[in-house]
Amino acid sequence: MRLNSGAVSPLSGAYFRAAAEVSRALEDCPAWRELPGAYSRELDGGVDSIAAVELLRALLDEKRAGWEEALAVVAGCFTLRIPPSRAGAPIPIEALRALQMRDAGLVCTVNDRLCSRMWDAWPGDWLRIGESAVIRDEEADFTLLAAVLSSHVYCTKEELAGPLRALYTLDPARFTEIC
Amino acid sequence: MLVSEHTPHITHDPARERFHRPLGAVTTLSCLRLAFSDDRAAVKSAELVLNGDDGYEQRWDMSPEGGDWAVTIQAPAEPAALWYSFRLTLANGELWLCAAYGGRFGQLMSTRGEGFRLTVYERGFETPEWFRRSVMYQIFPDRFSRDSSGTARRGVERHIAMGRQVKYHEGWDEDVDWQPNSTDGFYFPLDFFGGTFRGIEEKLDYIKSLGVGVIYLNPIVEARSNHRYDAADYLQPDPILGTLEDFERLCASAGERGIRIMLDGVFSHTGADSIYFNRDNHYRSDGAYNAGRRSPYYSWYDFRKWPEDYRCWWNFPDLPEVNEHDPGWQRLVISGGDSVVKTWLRRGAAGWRLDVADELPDDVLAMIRQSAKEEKPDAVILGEVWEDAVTKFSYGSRRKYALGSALDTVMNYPFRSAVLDFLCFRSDAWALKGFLIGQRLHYPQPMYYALMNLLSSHDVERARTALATRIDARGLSREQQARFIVSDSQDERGAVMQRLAAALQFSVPGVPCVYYGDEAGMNGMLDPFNRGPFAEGARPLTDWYGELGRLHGRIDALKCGAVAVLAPQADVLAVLRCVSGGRDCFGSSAEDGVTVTAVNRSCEPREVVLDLWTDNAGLSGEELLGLKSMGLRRAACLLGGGKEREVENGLLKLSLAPESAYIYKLS
Repeated sequence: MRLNSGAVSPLSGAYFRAAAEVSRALEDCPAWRELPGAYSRELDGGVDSIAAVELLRALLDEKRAGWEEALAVVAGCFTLRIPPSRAGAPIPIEALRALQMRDAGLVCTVNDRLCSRMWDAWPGDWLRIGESAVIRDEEADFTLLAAVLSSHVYCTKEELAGPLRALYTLDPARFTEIC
Repeated sequence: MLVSEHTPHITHDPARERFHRPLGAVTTLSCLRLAFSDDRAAVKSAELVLNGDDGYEQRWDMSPEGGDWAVTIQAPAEPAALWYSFRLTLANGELWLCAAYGGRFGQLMSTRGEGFRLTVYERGFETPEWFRRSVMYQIFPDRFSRDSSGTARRGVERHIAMGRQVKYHEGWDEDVDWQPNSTDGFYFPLDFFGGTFRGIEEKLDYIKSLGVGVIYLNPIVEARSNHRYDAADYLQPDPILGTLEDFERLCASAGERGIRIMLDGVFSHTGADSIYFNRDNHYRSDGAYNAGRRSPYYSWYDFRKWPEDYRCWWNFPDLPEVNEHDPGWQRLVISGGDSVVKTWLRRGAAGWRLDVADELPDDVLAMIRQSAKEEKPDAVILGEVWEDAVTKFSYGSRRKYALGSALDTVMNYPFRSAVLDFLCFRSDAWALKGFLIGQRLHYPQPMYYALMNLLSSHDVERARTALATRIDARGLSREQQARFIVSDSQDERGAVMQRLAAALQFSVPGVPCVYYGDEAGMNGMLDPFNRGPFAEGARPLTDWYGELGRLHGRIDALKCGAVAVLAPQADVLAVLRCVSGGRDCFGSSAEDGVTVTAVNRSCEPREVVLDLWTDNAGLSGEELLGLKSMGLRRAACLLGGGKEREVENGLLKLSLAPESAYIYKLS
């Protein structure tokens, strides 16, 4: 969808809102390492997960943060609460690339890091890793993306038993079951 | 090797029934379906290539089936250790899908690499159920328990009267001898502590309290040394141990308690000081050495130049090797009506552990099996094998003794190594998981569930010492081993880790074997230090073993259940055992039940989530369905002091204390 066609896709809308929000947050908190105390947001796993990616981008590119530091700050600012019915379908990575190439690249990197972590636990098990990756069949699962980037995830037991199963077994302390 | 862009999309996992059905080893002439995934339909044609020793190779064209490529074949008519790989044709050329990651998963390569393993074993191969469901206790007879009858002293005097050099330890708590004591400056094991059959009999209640169902005795026949691996007379018990009546009474008393006795058959060699060889003229017999060709036993041995130059075991002149294809030897030892193999079974033994089994030819092992089972159909034949028994290569050929025609089972030394490596932090839980699942997939099922899972034996350092010191004792001289002192802090660490090791030992399929004294926390480096006189130890550890034994006896899932192995973190290993549908995997009646054993080796607490429904952790599709159908909701801790936990959709969350082990029962 072209940005000047008069209609704004949900992804584009979310991206621009996120970009503005992140920019303001960083302006209000010049000491970006202390951002988690000043800015927090609860995601729902839909297109608004782009906010976490955009903050990651800003920290890496504008504040020259290191990877681990940037991820820690992002995690400190975001939590994920997954509604009973999931918000939104997977996002084609090409669509994200067309909108913001750098963010698309970061999603790929986050995916690679997750897959690498899963590789440690299940070396060689491409099937399991593929089923549990953020990017599957060229589409990004934004709920899983948000779960990876957030400090804590609130979700139902069905989510824990289903799409988030692998991530939950890797890192159970970050998950809280809700009714 | 080529890592292709197709790698994540073209995969094979022999632990998933989608790709390998049935799971694990297969019987001769059975049907087997093999497949690999092709997510992006990149493969144009595919071929399964099966190969083995001596140039054996067979190929089959594969067909696309719902996103995979598959073929169903008939396993060969001959048992064998085989390997398979897949030859693929893609748009830009040919690739091979071969085994990687320890043989578990596929890796695309430009040339043919290592294949995935496929074990084909004899159709109809069975192992005794009583053995598969037992706990074993190994006793070094001279060092377990004396009695007050004077038997041992009388036996010592008899040996001395024959002209042998014998030392008798008056004090049970004396150290074992290790220093040179022979004229040629070597150490010879001629010091005895005087353990007897009656002494063992007096301790049967103690052994029973550990949940034991079978006692494995190191050699008991008359011999010169204290280990008795230099048999002097195969048909007589050593007089220091007692009389034949004492042995038969031991078997009977043990039987009353539901315990059977397994003996140690040392058939690849005899003692030079024996009725058969009679090098020292201690016997009136015409031995091969003292009587030459006049001896009925002369053809047993290979003399390069009689009498001094003869083939001997590992060049020990005290241990002349026999020719196992000599008809006279076979008749006396194996096949005659009153052969050694049959006679001791008749006297009350329940099976044979065969010393250095890989030094006995396959056909001879098969004869032993046949002879033993003729005498006692449920006798057990257990082989001393130090490596993977299915792929063992020795004396120029791959051995077939683990494929159904010879051995029921083997000593599982690789299990010991894998567990000790994990608990000594030389490997991690993922490596241990890979090893355990590998054994599940590669051993014939009847043997797999009968593997003798040991942590210590008379031939390796005690588990307590290995875990405490984390030293390879083979790197120390005997003097260094004698002088080595395990510090208090080391021993404390050893004690903690030994509990974890024992929990694993009692939880995986097979027969857990406790080496006498391990349950009491005995330390000991290599021979002779691992053969010290039995010493009662700290009750908590003995109680731990006792509880493990009782759980093993009480819960069918631990005895004969299907298995899944999980490693949620590097420091945590979990073993799930499951019986569903009222039957074990052999079709025998078993009570439904599920247990989970979780071990945390770290000095930090760990919170983990176990995915009990993992589809490539060892369970077949049917077993996994059975597990899911049980509607598991809670996990009650039976051992380790953990709290009750919930199970939700096959997920079990556990909080594990540092250096802890737990056994949960799920319902």
